Amino acid sequence: MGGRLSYGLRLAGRNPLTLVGLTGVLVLGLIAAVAPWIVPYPQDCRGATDVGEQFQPPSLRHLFGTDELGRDVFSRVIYGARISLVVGIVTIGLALAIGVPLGVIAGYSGGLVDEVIMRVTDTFLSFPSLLLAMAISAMLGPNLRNAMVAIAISWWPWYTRLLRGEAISVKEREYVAAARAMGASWARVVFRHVLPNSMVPVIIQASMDFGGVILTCASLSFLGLGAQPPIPEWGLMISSGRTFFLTSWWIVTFPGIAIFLAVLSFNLLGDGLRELLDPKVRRRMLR
Amino acid sequence: MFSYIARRLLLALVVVFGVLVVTFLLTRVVPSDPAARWVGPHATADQIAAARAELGLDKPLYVQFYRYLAGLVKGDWGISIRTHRPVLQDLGTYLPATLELILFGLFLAVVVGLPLGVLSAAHNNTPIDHLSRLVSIAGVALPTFWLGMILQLVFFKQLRWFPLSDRLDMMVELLSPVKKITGFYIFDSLITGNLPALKSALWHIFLPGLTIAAYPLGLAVRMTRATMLEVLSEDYIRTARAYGVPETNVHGVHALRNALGPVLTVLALTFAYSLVEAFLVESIFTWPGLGYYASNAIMTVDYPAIMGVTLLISLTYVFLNLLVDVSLAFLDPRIRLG
Repeated sequence: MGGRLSYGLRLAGRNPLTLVGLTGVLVLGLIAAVAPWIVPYPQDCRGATDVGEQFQPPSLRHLFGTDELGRDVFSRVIYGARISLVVGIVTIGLALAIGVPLGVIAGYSGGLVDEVIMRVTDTFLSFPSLLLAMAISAMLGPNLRNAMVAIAISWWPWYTRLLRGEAISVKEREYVAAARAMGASWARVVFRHVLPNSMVPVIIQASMDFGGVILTCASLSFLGLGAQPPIPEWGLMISSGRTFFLTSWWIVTFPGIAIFLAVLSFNLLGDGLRELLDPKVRRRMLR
Repeated sequence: MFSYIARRLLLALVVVFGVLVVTFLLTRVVPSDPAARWVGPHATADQIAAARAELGLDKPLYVQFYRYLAGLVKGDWGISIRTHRPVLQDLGTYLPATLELILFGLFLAVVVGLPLGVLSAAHNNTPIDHLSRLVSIAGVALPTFWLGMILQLVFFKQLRWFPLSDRLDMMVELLSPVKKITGFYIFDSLITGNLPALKSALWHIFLPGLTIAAYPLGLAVRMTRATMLEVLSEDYIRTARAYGVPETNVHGVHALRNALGPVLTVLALTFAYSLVEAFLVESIFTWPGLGYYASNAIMTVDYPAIMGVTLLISLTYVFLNLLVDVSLAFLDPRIRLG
């Protein structure tokens, strides 16, 4: 195991961008974990306003300036990391909870069950995911919880498709036949033998999807379909700073940079992971 | 060949049916009461009940679905609550502006993205390669709505090179209005010889076009680089090199021609994605297109309009997918026989 880890790290070292991504994700996670204790103005993240301090440009007292309600933009951007990570975890968790069981059942059962599940999956895949999320969120009523549900509903088909493909190949393995021969129940074969052995690609895909989910959530919030005030969500911060951005550039600029860096880190890491697992690319890198 | 296309068509039909079911369920089954929304916030229970009967909401779901389908086929996509006009008519009014914007964006993505991808592949693992990979990854990671605002800050406020928003200058609109033929201002002003309008239209489309190009541009660089690297290791490239074909031709002609298919496929598929991105871009640049219409519909909970836009974009997406698959089948025997 130790040998494989160092081998993996050596491969990762060949592509500096992967390390940049990994560092970014770790920093983001750290910031999110300690945000409530390190921000200079924690009350500004919980709905407090300070009308005497409106539209202050960046200074030592307010590193990223203050917004239209006099709130410290730096505190809110830092706190926003926590919101975005939670959104990512909850949304992807939900999407996995829908997509994974359907995928393994479709792949293992085959026949009519497979056909029905996959046509439903195709239907959901034929909506651009942001569009479907917008429509669902608009219909459910805009708030952060519904936005997460909406994104998850537009996201699960990818996992179903991926897991089905894996399950089809795993179900032919000898240990699955052995389990069946020993009289294991259908559920036991599917969930104890096929599922655990088909999960790796899905887990990797899910970790790569964090960037996309964070971006989608920010877009929804920007359109007024996601987080509602006073939640310090990055997309919402940009949306409410929009009216003033030509005169107070800092209100929209810093949350946007935060979104960009978070999404970039996850994407770089995801790219690197995919390369590591693709033997064709791996061979080329080692040459 | 024809059995493949027939199978693919059938699949597209199944998917279209599924899309209709989903949009129908979204309008009728979600918690909010369409009848209450139809009559407005101060209606009595009687009025709501009357509206429910009028809209056919008291009928069983399958009857409602049948009526919904029949209406769609006849061109009845519902009446917008906000504009009080038929949704289909609204869509027709706003669509050309969006198409013009997206086509301009995709054009930018191709003319910048392809050469950058080729360059990146030709100089694999050099600083040029790292830089263009960074561009490609950044293009995909940038929040579109934010990028648009930053471009406005830099190119409108600071440099004063480009206008802030809208499709034309107010003065141009008054003095030399564009004769509406296709609804594409650049095209219409060009064929009517309306030079002031053409200049103004090009000036105005640049920033929103660039914003919308960011994502497909990133994708184009990435796909071109990846397929070029694959193609460059093929035997016929080695043969070409052995015959002494100059490197520029090897990359620009022999390799690129074979790498083009996947790249164009991906770009065709990003078209529908760009339609959705247009929601964000148009609302920032007050570009009077489909996205501007849709974001106003979202803010006023104008559900017939929201569903109309959703349906239109999904159908476009299904159609483009079909088109790509069929044309690839014509081009590549491995697909139609496999």
